[in-house]
Amino acid sequence: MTAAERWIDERTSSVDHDGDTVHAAVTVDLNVDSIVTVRRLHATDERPQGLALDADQSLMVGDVTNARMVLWSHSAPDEVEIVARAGRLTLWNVWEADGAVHAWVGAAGMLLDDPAGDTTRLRASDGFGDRTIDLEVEIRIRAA
Amino acid sequence: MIGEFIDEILSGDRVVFSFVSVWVIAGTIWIVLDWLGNTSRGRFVPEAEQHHGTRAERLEARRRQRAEDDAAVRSTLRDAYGTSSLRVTWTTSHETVAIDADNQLVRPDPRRPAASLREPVRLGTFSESGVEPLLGTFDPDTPFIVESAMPRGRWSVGADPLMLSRSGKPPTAATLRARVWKNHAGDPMWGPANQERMRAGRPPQRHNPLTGKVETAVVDLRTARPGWRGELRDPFATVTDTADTEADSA
Repeated sequence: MTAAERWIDERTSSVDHDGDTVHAAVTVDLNVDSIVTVRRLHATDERPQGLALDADQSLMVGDVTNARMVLWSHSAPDEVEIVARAGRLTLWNVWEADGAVHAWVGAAGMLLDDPAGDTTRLRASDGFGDRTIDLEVEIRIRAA
Repeated sequence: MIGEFIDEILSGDRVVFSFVSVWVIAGTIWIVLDWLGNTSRGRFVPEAEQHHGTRAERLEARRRQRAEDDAAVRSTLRDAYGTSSLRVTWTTSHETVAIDADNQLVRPDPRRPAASLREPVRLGTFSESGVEPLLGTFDPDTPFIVESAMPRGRWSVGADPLMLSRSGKPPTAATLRARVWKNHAGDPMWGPANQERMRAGRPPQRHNPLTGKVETAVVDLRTARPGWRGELRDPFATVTDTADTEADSA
């Protein structure tokens, strides 16, 4: 049974799977207005990989403002700064297949490293094949 | 001997008793056979397919499950025989009701303005390269306009989900969805449990950690592509954000 199937089965967003804690999404509570820096360390070139962000307040990247965004491996620069209002911020990985955006099926899942200071690292697998590292990003959060 | 039987069994009050007994026995046999023949009644439900939550949510989930199962069967029958049921008493009005019910399984996205549905939708223009044939033009106010290149015949797994019937009838939305799921059931992206659902013509599911609920995939009826509800904005999109494709489910 894949982690995605266990998320459905156990009605949870994190399960222990093959010795790892596999997350469907990770959530950060921002106590103050913050700047979130996303640095892409690796992305497989088999298909577009993306990091999706959802906030209860609007997010701002450059002059684009929206509560839900996606940073694609094929269009976003390696390092992106996101201005986030205080509140909840959720991140998860997505991928594009057959012209549609998918997440949380098949072998999908994210591993979250222990934070080092204000920085942590996400390693994510898309739904294809076995769980692999298809997207790896470093997340840094600091007060705006 | 027959005379004795008639005198003994079919005489007086015993006639009534025998008549009632025969009908009770026949009715019991019919009920038992019906019970044994209906595989979906009282079946074992694996832990993975059991629904949790309140009683109302469980009832709704079971009702939905039965409706999806029935729609998958009707879709298969429509592909094979052009009708949702093989019952002799099945009429056009029954067919209309069945198709409407199947179409209601996936409701329109309320955020999508109804006005956009009135615009003619061109079927078969899947890609920008334009290599695929134009299958036809759909307008809710006019009869479906079939292009000559529209494939016709009996649909089978792997064929174009927009294929028309032998008589040129386009697939219903429910049939189209079931065909798309069957066609994509071999895609390893979906995982074993979803693949099993899709082989039966049912939509794949996923756990959405943002809502905490299980959601089902939808089919874009214009492109016959599977997807999910919701929209993500790409701040670095150059022209049109193709990744933001919002499934147009009806």
